[in-house]
Amino acid sequence: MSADIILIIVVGSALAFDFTNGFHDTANVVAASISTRAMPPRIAVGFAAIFNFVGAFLSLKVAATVGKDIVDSGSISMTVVFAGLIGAIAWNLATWYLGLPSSSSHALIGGIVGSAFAAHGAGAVLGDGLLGKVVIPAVIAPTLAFLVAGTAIIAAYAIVAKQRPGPVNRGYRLGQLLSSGLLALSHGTNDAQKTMGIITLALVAHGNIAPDNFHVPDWVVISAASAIALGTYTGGWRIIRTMGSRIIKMDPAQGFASQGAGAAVILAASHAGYPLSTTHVISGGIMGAGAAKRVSAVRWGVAGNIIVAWILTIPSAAIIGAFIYGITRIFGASSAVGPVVVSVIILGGSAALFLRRAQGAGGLEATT
Amino acid sequence: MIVAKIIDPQAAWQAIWTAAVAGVGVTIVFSIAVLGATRAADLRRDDRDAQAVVFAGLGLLGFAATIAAVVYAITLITTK
Repeated sequence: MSADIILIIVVGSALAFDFTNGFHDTANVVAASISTRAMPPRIAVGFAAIFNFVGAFLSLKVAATVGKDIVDSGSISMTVVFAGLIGAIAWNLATWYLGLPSSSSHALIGGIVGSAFAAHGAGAVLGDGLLGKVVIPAVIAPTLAFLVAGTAIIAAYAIVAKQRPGPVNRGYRLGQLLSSGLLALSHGTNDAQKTMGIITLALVAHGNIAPDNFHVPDWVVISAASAIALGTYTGGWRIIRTMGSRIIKMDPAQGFASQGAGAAVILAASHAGYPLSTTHVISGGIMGAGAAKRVSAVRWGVAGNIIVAWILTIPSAAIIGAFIYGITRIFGASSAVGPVVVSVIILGGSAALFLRRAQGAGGLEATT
Repeated sequence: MIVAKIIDPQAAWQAIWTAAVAGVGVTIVFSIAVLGATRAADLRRDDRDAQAVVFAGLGLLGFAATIAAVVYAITLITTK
């Protein structure tokens, strides 16, 4: 009975995380389209939500990586999964509140690694998987997106040189319908799968799925796709502002190149099963498209703050995940009381943050 | 050596070059579409219809290549 209650809380928390992931990462997908006026903000967000939903059904390789290759699924309990999720949600909410586009994916992985470490020691963490499938791609992917977007925009400017800017800009704005759709699709493909992997990990811990027969049930795919799409639609206006205008001022060609580069990197990584951060990738793409035109066009101070948030994400979420695991353990290793108490606290904290943000939301929306 | 043990170099390299070719390639072919459409409109306005048709064809070709690249990318990820 207690295990069933914890499973329900874990699935609820995972879907809540998925919602915050979509909410938090909306900026990644729509910032370029909004900044270049290719689409009005609400339309861009709705468009992204639909493609996020569709993208979640495209592949399950990333879900398998999260469920099997980061921590030892055989030794993970539901309390560990719960603590990891709460660590990720807490970090996501904090960075959202501060307007920093940090990585939801790395928050999730950091949270799970931290709680698994606190529960079972270093043996529960699959170091090779963590390094090879998360840390190294985390360095390569944004660099690659930076270079691809930079090369792409140089080529684009060379091709349309000496043409009238009006029709050229209109052409690239039209193209951004395609590139932003593709970016949203790739976001859904990579990010929704992380939640699918976590819920499946909880089902393994609960005994519904054998560790040696890891597969993602259909209801998990559908619920994760719905949660991320809903979160995306709800949107994160504060981060949209950071991503859309504070890093660089984009023209439509830069918007197209950065979104195209981001989508290409994320889709290629999803195909290989790497749980990438879409935030990292599209930030790299935006910076690459800006720097290729003029190095000083990139607001490197803001970019530096984002990089600091990237570096802090995995260790911070891991520390919070370990701390939450410690809290839940106070109430007993297999008791549902700990997760219930922590859920109530995190819900109260989230409500307080949303209320504080809602007070300033009008002003923020007016500036996007 | 150690890196090769923890990361599959073949899969990583394939992901890198695929992303690079696709990201740059799609922007190039779409830019050709934009160039074709813009030049075709300008030439038509100047009553140079034959050249306008050539650039319109170039634009259509670029747009078709863009769509084909997107469809191919989605097909690849859903079928493998």
